Amino acid sequence: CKDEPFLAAVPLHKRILETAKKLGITDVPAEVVTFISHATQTRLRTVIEKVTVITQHRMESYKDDEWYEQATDVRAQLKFFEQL
Amino acid sequence: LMCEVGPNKQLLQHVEEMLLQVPDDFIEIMITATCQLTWHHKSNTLEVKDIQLHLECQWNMWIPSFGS
Repeated sequence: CKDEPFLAAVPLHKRILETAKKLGITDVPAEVVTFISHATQTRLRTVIEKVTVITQHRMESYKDDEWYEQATDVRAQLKFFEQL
Repeated sequence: LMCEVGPNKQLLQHVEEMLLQVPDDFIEIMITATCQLTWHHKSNTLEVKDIQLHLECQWNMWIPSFGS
């Protein structure tokens, strides 16, 4: 496993320090920055994977699936109303 | 990262903006929680162990570090 930082280390370190300072923590080692970068990458990957699954789900057609059958014929119903 | 998930996929712009917001919020929550842990055991140095603990409990996520 190569250790390429996912997020830019310097701005990330700065940001962590800023947030930490508000909570009374003054020392943020470099390994923590790398670790947070890894964690964020993992988190983002999970989110993207979920979104991808949802997208595929949206694209799927259930018309030919044997587990689904037509319950109402909306088109015919609309046509009926038009003729009223 | 997107290429990794699927090379033929495109992101709409507002989806991309939304996804960029994800790490932003994530980092914020993570640091806040970890600092509270650090503060709790009366230290002023952030530790990888504390972040790991937070991630495991709150996000059900295990990220190996160099020490483990």
